[in-house]
Amino acid sequence: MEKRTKPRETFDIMNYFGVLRIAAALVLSMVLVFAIIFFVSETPGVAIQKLMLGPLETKRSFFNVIVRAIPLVFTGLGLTLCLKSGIFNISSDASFYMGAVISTAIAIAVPLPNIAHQTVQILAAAVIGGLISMLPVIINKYTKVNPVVLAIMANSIFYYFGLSIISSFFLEPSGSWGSYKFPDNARMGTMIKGTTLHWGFLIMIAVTLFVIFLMNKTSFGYKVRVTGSNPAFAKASGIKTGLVILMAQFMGGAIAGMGGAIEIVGVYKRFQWQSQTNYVWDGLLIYMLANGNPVYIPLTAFFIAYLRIGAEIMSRSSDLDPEIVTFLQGIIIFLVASQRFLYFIKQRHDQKMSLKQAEEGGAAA
Amino acid sequence: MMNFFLSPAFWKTVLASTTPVMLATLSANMMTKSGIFNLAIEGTMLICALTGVVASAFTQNLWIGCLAAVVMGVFVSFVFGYFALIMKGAMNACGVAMNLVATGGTVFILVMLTGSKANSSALKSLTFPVVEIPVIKEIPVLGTILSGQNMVTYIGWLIVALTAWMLYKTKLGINIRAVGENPSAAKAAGISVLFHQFAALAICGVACSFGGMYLSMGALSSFTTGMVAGRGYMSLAMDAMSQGNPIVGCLSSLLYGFSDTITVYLQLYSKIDLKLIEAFPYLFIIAVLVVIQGIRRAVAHRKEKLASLQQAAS
Repeated sequence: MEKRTKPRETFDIMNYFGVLRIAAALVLSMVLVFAIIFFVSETPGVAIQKLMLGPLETKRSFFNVIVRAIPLVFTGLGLTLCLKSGIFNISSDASFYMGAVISTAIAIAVPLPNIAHQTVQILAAAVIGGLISMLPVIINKYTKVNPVVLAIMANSIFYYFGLSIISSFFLEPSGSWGSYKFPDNARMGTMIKGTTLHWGFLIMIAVTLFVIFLMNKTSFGYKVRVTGSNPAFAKASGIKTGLVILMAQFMGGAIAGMGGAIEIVGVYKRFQWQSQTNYVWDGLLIYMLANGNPVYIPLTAFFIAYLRIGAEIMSRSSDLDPEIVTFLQGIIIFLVASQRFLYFIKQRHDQKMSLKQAEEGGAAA
Repeated sequence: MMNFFLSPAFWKTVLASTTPVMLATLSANMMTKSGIFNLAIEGTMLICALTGVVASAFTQNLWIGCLAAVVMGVFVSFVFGYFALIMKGAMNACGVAMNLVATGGTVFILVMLTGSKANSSALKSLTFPVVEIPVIKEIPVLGTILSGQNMVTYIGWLIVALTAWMLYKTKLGINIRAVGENPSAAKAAGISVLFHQFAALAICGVACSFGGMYLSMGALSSFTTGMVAGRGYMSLAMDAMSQGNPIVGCLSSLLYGFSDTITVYLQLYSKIDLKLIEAFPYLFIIAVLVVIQGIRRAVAHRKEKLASLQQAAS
């Protein structure tokens, strides 16, 4: 009896192989980017220092990181629900953008008292975002086009759609392109004075806790995970996979839509997004770095936001463009997505372990 | 207002704006036939568009620029293939990764070389010439439409024809299709799966590079950031429409060219919001797809019914 429990008690670094692999992917891709910076920049030392430590230099820029992480957490959580159901539905951008548009519309057109106003905005954005997110799956049923393609097309369609809603109904005629200003009782309001942190941060925490609870503690979360990992088994065990998938898309889109609503009234004074937001790629990286576990999403979102802010600070004080971070993200996704990356270590370890077990088994017999 | 349908100039523009999507659709077809899902077509086109511009600007030789872009296209496809097939990465994620590398990398290099984040007009890059075809030029309406296109358009048609021939008439093509249809069966028959998938990726890379070059060295004379603008993704929808057949793919990409040209005309002549019209190609393609797949399903259903009836009769 003792012998059997013994291997579990001893610390084995290979139990953390998943984490180590992601860490190795991060380090390797960072090294690659540093090498590129050294190669092309005239002041590589300053550039790297600003990229890595820039956000820590002032209190303001550190809180900027947190503010930047808020929409990323929403997108990441939304994607978690969508992707965990086994559908690579990356239409979060459409939900996010339309969420912001709906929120803008309600903020400007519907007069309501302070807290009720934000609540209505966020709820409406969630419903619209959720409905949009279901579209790729529904259209896929009728066209047999891969949902990824449909989702990317939806991102473009709803970007144009939302943009034209703003520019036909809510555009301020004078000055630079933008909607009318939001009234004060439609905005989020700053949480800590002297920083840009807004009350959306608390909503973010609440939604994160909700998703963690939903995915890990409820039967719905379990159904989503089973449907995603083994649809045939899910069907055989009586789960209505179609319904579960649709529900997961709805909730994922709703969270992304909420993110859009909170971002637009939290950070901006009026609607100014004239280009596609492209939060979905950041969200995808966040999801992959968190290994699909919602518990880690805030952490990884913070990391990506940190990189983004760091790159912006870097580009201000050196000759490099912040787009290097997008490049870096691509490399990280490549490495994290490859199952065979560092696989040989695990393989060798597994072989060793099974040999050991066989030897022990032989000795016992 | 609807007169523009009748003018040859309209149809000429349709053919011109079909070109990049036609080449991208061909790439997507090759990928489907070899059993790969390649989202990276978009990024590959973007990288090749920049490579062609930069190489032709530095060497001042169109063909060296062209060759560089083609080599780059194949290389980028192989990188995707390495991560997706050899490292067993999820194909979706690898495609997204390649697109991010392309978006970030092209802007980064553009800023390094020209100092501008928007376009490469500071570089003196070369463009493919417009070709007048001697005999066809003389035919009244058809001549105006078919002749006087950019050289890449004709190269594109050639590539489509060659690929279709290769795919259905040569041993390589048949093997590629076998690998795509059922990898384990192909393996059992002694066909190297990886070799044929990489061969398909190479063709994909060549087609993508010409698609990219058409944008930056044909339709426009410089590279602008994000100039592929979703054409690579559209091509995957066209591919679903054509079910992997290059000739059908070429025809269905005409639909994109058609809707894209209409978009331009609508923006000129109608009072609908400009941005809303830009969503038109996407909606049009989805609508056509829904109809086509509906018809396909109905036909399949009917065939099944007939077969079962015949069985019952015999």
